[in-house]
Amino acid sequence: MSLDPEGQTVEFVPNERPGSPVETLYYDYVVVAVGAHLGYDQIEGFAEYGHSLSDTYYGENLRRYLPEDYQGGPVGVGSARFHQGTMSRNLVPTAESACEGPPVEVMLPLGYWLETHGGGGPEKVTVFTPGETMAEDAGLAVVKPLLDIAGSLGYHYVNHTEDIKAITQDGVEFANGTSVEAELKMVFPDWQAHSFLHDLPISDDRGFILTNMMARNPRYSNVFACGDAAAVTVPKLGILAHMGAEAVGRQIALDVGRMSPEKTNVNMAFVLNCIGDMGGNKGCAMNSDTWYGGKKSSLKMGHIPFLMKMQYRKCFFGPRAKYPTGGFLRLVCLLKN
Amino acid sequence: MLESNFADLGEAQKIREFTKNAVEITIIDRKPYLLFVPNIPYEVFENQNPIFSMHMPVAKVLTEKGIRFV
Repeated sequence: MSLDPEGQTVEFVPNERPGSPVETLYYDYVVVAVGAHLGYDQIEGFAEYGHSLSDTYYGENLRRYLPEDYQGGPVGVGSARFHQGTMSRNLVPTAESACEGPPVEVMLPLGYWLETHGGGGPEKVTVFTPGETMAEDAGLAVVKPLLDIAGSLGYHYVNHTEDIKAITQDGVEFANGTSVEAELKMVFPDWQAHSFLHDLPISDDRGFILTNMMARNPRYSNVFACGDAAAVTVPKLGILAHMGAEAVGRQIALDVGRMSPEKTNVNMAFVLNCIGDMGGNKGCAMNSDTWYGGKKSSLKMGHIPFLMKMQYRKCFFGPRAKYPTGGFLRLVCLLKN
Repeated sequence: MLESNFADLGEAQKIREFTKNAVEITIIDRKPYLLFVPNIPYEVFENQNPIFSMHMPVAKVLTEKGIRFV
């Protein structure tokens, strides 16, 4: 795929059967929501020794590995460093990892799985982060109690790893020269921009699409971006994709005369809403905007957050595939507050 | 609209909701389904292959909303 903002065209190759020629589509407006390249291919040793849970392939690999090959040894869970662009620093903070919801959501149910499958428990799991504090974007008031609880359950915690240098048969080696012994290595990579977005006049120095806080590119007013492809989407989190999608809809409605400037020209006020599975039909719900300078900060744990997480999926998989918006998200906020 | 996953359904539905029928929408995606990433860990730890439950077809739903899916 390629994108030409000057010529207002997109080129793509139909991929259902190999052999199609390049097709060209002209656009009046383009919305770049292509997600990110997950840089597992940048982690030495991942193919041989690593596991993850970011898609169904890796998920099924782990599902088969646990009962068949896992010998009950130590487990390492954590993230590689995220290389964020530098051109949106006036809009969003800089993150050390792309999103640490996934490692949190792996470590907790994995500890429960170990307990319930005769493999020990959380004391076998070491969680690591490249930054000062794991999931720092959720705010210290949320993260510290969560880490305290995890520590009391027996989880081990390592910070300041800087980056994953390599995965070996024996564990995970970090850029700061330290390592963690692990039989099972669960890692989440750098979130990178797709190669076709690099060096475009709409992109930042890492290839993510530059936008203002209304999802519009500052140089090409007919270019929008949301989700992981947008430079301001930090961390790379679903709720921010929700907010970006709504901003795009409003801005295009403004341009075609279907919505007033008063309703549309409002900057996104980012907030982290995240519901994680903890195992045992329990979940944790975080709601915080302190990383962005706000004052919201809430952490709830128990069966209700788990129920909400399961219901969130049903919103998508229902007969109308309704993207969960106002009602559901308000309910989540009510729950959290 | 160049799409990948979570953002696509949302923006397509929001653009259609806010603009009514004032715009023609085409989505270009490399796969005709939404990969529901958030619940993959749950499925795996419940010993269920996530490929059976974490793919949601989107082409029909979008077409019914007047959105061309490529």
